[in-house]
Amino acid sequence: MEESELIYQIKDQNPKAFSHLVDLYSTMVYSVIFKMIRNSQDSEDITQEVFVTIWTTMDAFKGDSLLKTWIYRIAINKAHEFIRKKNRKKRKGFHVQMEETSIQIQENEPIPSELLEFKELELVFTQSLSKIPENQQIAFLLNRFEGLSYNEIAIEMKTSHSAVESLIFRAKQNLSKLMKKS
Amino acid sequence: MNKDKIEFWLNKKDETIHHPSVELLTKLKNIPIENRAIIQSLSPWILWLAAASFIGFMLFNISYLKSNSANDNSLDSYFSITTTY
Repeated sequence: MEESELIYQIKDQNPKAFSHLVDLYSTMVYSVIFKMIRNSQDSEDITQEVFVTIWTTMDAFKGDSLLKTWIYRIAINKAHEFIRKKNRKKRKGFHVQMEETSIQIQENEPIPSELLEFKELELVFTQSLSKIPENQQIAFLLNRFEGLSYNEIAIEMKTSHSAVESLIFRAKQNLSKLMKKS
Repeated sequence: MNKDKIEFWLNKKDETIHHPSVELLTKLKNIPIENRAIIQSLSPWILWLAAASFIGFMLFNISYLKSNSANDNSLDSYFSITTTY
């Protein structure tokens, strides 16, 4: 099924088309959320929220970008929303981080102090990422998490190669500034 | 945070693919069905029917009041609240 046909069918409330969409994009959505959150249960909940949003707001999709990029944007926004909420409950968040860390220690037996530092840096990185403009985030993450080349990102985001270069360059600059501050 | 660590994070690639569980996939595929059930319970036809009934009821009342007030020039017979002393 072509993308335009798939979009049309979903807008027409066709559950089979939606099921096809789930087959196509659920791994991508879950994977990007998991990489940002690092907790399988929360990632599953957020993935579900993402697909509910897709189902209920498909009419709002105007085709300015590819469907995949639109879904990617929703997933990143939902993950950031979760991180923001989690940061508000800092104490609780700290405990969750500690629990995840202890699980990894048992499984892989890395040096705890290094692991803790890695976790902290990862948290700083994720928080900084949520503060940079959305287009920069998407270009940066598509490159980093999906391994897409600048040309492939340009196609996904319906923009030029030079615009992608600029987006990723500015994303790195902004991230660097934000990470230095913390 | 020092420059080396920042560089590490900015250039670190993570192309590992994490797969959702089968349970999650089943839940995701059921989203349209569950949403449809919610939408059906709030079917617009029911809302339209309720709105039409309310408007019909109000129009009936107004016409009744008008005809009543034209006949005996009083609204009391409609409301039946006249008190006789």
